[in-house]
Amino acid sequence: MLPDTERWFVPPDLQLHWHCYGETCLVFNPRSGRTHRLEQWVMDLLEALRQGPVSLSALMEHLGLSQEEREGAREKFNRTIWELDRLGLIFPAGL
Amino acid sequence: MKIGDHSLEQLDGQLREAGLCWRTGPFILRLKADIPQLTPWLHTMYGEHPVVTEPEIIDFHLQMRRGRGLRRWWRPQVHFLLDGNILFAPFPLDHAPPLFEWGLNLCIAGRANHFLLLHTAVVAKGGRAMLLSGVPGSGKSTLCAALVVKGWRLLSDEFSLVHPDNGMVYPLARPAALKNQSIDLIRNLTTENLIGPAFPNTRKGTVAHLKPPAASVQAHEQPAQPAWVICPQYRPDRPAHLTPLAPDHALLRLGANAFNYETRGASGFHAIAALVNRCSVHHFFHDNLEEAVVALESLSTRDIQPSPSETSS
Amino acid sequence: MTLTHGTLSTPLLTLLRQPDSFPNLTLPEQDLALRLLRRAGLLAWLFYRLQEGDSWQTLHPKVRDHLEGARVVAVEDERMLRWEVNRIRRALLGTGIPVTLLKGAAYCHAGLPMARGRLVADVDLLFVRDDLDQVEQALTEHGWKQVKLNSYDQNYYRQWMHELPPMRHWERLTEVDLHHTILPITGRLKPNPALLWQDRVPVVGESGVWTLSAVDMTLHAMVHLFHDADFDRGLRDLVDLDGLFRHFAKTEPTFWASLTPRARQLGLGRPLFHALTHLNSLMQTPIPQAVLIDSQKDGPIWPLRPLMGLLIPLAILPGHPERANLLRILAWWPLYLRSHWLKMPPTLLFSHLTHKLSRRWRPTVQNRRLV
Repeated sequence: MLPDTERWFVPPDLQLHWHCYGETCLVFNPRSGRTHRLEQWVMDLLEALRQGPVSLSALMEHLGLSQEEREGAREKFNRTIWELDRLGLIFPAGL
Repeated sequence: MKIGDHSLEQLDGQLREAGLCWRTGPFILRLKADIPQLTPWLHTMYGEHPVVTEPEIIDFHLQMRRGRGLRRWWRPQVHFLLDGNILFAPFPLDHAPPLFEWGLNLCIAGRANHFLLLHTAVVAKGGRAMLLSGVPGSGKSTLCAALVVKGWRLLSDEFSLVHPDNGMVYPLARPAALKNQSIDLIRNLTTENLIGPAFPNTRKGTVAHLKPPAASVQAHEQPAQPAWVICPQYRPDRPAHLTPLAPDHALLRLGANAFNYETRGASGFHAIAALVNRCSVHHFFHDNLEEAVVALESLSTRDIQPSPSETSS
Repeated sequence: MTLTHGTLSTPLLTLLRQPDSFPNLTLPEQDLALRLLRRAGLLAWLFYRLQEGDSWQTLHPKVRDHLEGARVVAVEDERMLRWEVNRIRRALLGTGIPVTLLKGAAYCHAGLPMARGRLVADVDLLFVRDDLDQVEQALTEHGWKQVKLNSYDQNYYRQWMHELPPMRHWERLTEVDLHHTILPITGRLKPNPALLWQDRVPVVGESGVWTLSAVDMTLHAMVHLFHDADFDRGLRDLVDLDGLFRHFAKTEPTFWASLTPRARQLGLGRPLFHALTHLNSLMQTPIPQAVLIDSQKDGPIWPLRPLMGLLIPLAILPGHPERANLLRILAWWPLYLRSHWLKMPPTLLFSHLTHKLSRRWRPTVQNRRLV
């Protein structure tokens, strides 16, 4: 579990390349040189993180999730954030 | 002047001395060799290929050399050299032709990074290319050879040379390698004698080569427009059947199997996406080579336009 | 002084000094030049030098294909380098440990023009020795593992070298070398790492990332050339040095004035002497006469001076790809011994060499460079 004090962002100069097919997008990250298959909601999440470093709670609030929804979604978000960090699609504040 | 226009003695002399220079697809190679077994094989299999006599930039300076040392007296071996460097462990001397083909594949896969190099067989009809993508054992090469025997143009049994600027596939009509049972399957499709000698006990079993048709070799300057991507799978009890494959799956599959997808970066990503958007893409199960050829013939007379994707700039 | 072996060196050196002269070569000469440059890892270097000029469109289409293919690989190498540095920063985030880049990673992050088209195999980093344990631990937590070495090599690195055994990322398979000084700790030359540390300069736009100063970076490139027994890469190193000199001579007003004093302060006067001598004679790098004369004081005594003057160009300049070159092999061995002499006390040297010798005969696979 990631500490909620950690804040995440997508740098403005990270220009992802993408092709979307329905709800699935293939994304090429020119920094890592890797190609990923992402669901549309993850694309929206990446877009939200372009606004600047935010914590997980603030992010869920920004995406309009209610208090109960947030509790239910926390683990899914947590895993997604962990994975996106590992793939180098998002960065912790300070990097 | 073609390689086949030379006498065996002339060819042998050139291979031993200055080296034989010829063009295959977009590449020019120069081969020096002191392997008597290789000469007649090259004479037949590369017989239609044009010899290069003018000074040129040569893509691959190759040598095939017999192993030295004491070992040669009881187990003669042959080395493959690029630019004077031995690239991998030697083969037994009587496997010189498969070693040559294998070595040249390695050279192209490692060096021709001005192309996007997909790992597929490619055949064409009327300027439109069909890419056959499959893991080893899927029957990709067999299907490729069957289509060629039935009149399709051979571009390559191993590489799609995709030009990153125009998306066209460039031809490389070299001998097509057939393995084990495939050799007889192809031999039975035709009354002509198109298949060269069999080499038993290579690391891939018995290997023989289909000679590229003269018309395919002569078209070495004519690229083809990709129109179909087929992922064949031989299954003993599945009659020939095509199922559409989702474009995102096709893109990942072609990328993952390519020789230099990661090396080419964003350009490789967009090139494959454009190719997949332009092509009709199918899984293809079949249990009989002749029926498979008929099914693909009939696909080629239809035209399917896939829906375009939404795309970043 | 012109010391050539065979007929290849002169046209090759002309090409290295004046890459724009490439189109003036005959087609067979161009063909041979492409082969030699490929082997030296300099094909993409030629791409960028020709692209800067206006001869690109006039080149033979096949030459353009070869150079374009080399450019693609070099661009990917640079991406890899930048991403590895980013991932290392990610692993060290929160530790407060600064990352100092060496060699290729430094050239690229410092934005030096000579970094364009430079092939890279791994990332070299400098740390304070006391931080190394923590660095190793942080990298391990983020997916790096010690490259499997036999126990002899493990020992060799741990006891005698200026770096830890390399670490490799399990997924990306890229290697990082963690140094705590720029030369082996047992070596005769012992540049004080604290001095290098003091003069570091920050990388613009990458917080916590540093490079050595311009002068130190150049001196490090020199010890690399004349101390690593990697003479097959010698030509590339020579071109690197030429690029560093030409660039810093323009951008760093105090470069020439501080070069020799700094080299002496770090105990690197002798490598500087060799580098200046051979850059001057082989590459015709513009070096102020006063610097050349001053550096003579650090040169070796007769007969070592003419001997080294003879051996170094022989070892560095490539022979014909398909002909064995006895002279070159003869030159290579004394230099190999010398490079180890400089690295280690003689008793150690003996055991290391016998060990290395017995392993030299194993076949090596270097497909990437060769192909």
